[in-house]
Order: sequence, then structure tokens, then C-alpha cells
Amino acid sequence: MKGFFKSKVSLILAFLIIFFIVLNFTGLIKEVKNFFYLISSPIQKTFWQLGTKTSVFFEGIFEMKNLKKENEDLQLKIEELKSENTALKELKKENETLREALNIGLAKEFQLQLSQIISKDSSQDSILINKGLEDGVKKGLPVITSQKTLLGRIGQVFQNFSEVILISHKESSFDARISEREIYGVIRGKGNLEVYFDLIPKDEEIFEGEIIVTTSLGGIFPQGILVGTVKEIKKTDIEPFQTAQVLSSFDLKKLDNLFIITDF
Amino acid sequence: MIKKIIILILFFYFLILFQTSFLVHFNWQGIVPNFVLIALIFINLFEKPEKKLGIVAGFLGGFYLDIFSLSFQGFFGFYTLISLAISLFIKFILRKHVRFPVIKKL
Repeated sequence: MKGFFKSKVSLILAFLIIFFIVLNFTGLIKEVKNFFYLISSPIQKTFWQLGTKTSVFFEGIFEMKNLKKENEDLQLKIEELKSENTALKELKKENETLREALNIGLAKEFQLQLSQIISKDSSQDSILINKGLEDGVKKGLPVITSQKTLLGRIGQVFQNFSEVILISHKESSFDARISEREIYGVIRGKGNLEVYFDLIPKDEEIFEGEIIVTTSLGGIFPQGILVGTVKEIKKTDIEPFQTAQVLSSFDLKKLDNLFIITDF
Repeated sequence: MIKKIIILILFFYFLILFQTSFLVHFNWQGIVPNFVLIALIFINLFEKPEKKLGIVAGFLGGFYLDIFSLSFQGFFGFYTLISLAISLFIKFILRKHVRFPVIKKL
């Protein structure tokens, strides 16, 4: 240990410590990270799309015997939803004419901005997308998939990239309700892409397969965006509330184009 | 030595890109193994404890993990410190307490 303080190693160590202190206390971290993301984003985008195609290919092989039945079930569901959709479109037109007649003002459509997913963080549920400060992205804006289902909200913003905190992130929680009824609860993320619907009053009856949407309580997300469907319900006598596991409507392996809601 | 460091820099760079973009699609229950951490543990295990390349590998792996990880508000060097600590720890244990078959080429 005697020669330690004079050796080369200690010089390098001191340099490193100063380097890290300087990086931490100035704003340089974001610039450095932005630079790295900038040079790696073409490669990462290629990897991401390659990964999507490969995983879809393998999924096809493993699920082959279920595919035919799944296909038939989905065709039936599509016919059902088509007729429901035409009825809803009529209602929407009626709604618009009534709003004009009463002079309320038409319901606003969201202002959306398109972006692509670049990578996912190795240790937590957040992803990187290719729009940043320069494109007008701010912290807290909601992000939805191209099927208009909820994905998360913007966390850190860099110059050309930003981070999306998914709803399954450990620190993400917001209010939501069962779609056609007045049952309110809180959606909490548990990490590992798992989402739970928590704090549901015990005297309400909920069923598997019911649709969960966002409410505008808390001002975190706009209301009416699809979150997922109820998967498994947990009700014990000890807990004051019941909890349900949620099958989230986004599949991380198949994500590509995302929309940022900018006028929220 | 310099050539090996450059190879390590490129190796860890492509490994982290691979891990955060390609391997995400092959997760099991939402978990992707952290190959950068596994790689630097193996580099440190299979090298003679006197050589210094493992510590450089630890620093580089940790640095890349830091750059490509988000939301550690405030403190940047989190993964770098952890990886350096792991590589120094492995070297310390190997030097004093373990005899291990080493790959001579490293």
C-alpha cells in the first residue's frame, strides 16, 4: 500500500473521480447521454425491428396448433365489433349535431405526435423514444400506442430523445375505472411489465374480461383511454380492498409507432 | 493493451445495444438477463488476478450501463461504481483465496 499514492493507478482513479463529480454537478450528463443515443439510434432501431420480426416468427412456430382456433375466435369477435362500431358511429354523429345545436363546442380530438421506440431500459419499465426537447416534448405528456391504448407518460426529456415511464413501472399509479360502470380504483405498476388494479371497494362485484379505462381524476391522463382488461381477481377477508391483475393492452414485443398527446 | 481496451469498448457497446433493443423481445415474464454484467463478471473470473484488464472491463461495462439506463435522477455513476466494485471484489478474492484455471491468452 505504500507506493499506492504515487503510482499511476491513483492518478487514474483521481481523474475518474473528478470526471464523475464534474459530470454529475453540471448538466453535462444529459448531453453525453443524448450524444450516445444519437449515434446508436439507427443501430438500435434496426435491432428493434429485427427483434420484433424474429419474436413473431418464433411465436408462430410455438403457437401453431392454437393459431387456427384463435383465428376463428377473432373472426367472430370482429363481426360482433363491426356491428357495435356502426351503432357507435351513428351515436357520435348524433352527439356532434346536438353539441352544435346547443352551442357547447365540439369534443376535441387529441393532438398527436408520432415517434418510434428505440430501446428499453435494462432494469426498469421505461423505454426510450426518438422525440425530445427539440420536437416540443415536455415531461408528463401521455403516450399511447397506435391502437390508442395507454402506454405511459414522459419522464426525462433529452435534446432529441425522451423516456417513457410505462404504466407497469414500480412508481407509476393513476386513477382508472371499469368501463361501463362506476367502479373506481387505482392502476399500479409492479415492474416486470405487470399491472394491477388496486383499491377497489370490496362491496363491488367485478368480473374477468371487463375493460378498464382512464378517468380524468388527478389530471394525469385524459379520460377514456383504454388501459387493459381484468385478468384475475383477488379478494381476501384481511385486506380492506380487492385487487385485480390487469392484462395490459399493449405488447412490448410488437410495439412500433407511438403517439405522444401534446395538447394535454 | 490499448488494442484490447479498444476491443472491449466496441464489444460492450454492441452488447448493450443488443441487450436493450433486440433481447427485449425475448423476455421471460418481463425479465431480460443483464448480459453486460454477466460478461464483465466472466472476464474478471477468467483472468489472472494480477492483470488489470478486468478492472478496465468493469469500468467500461458500468459506464455503458449508466449511459443506457434512465431515471436515476441526480447521480450518474451508479452502475459504474457497482461494476467497479464487483470487478475489484472478484480480483481480490481470486488473488487471495482461490486457485482457478485461467485462460492463458488473456
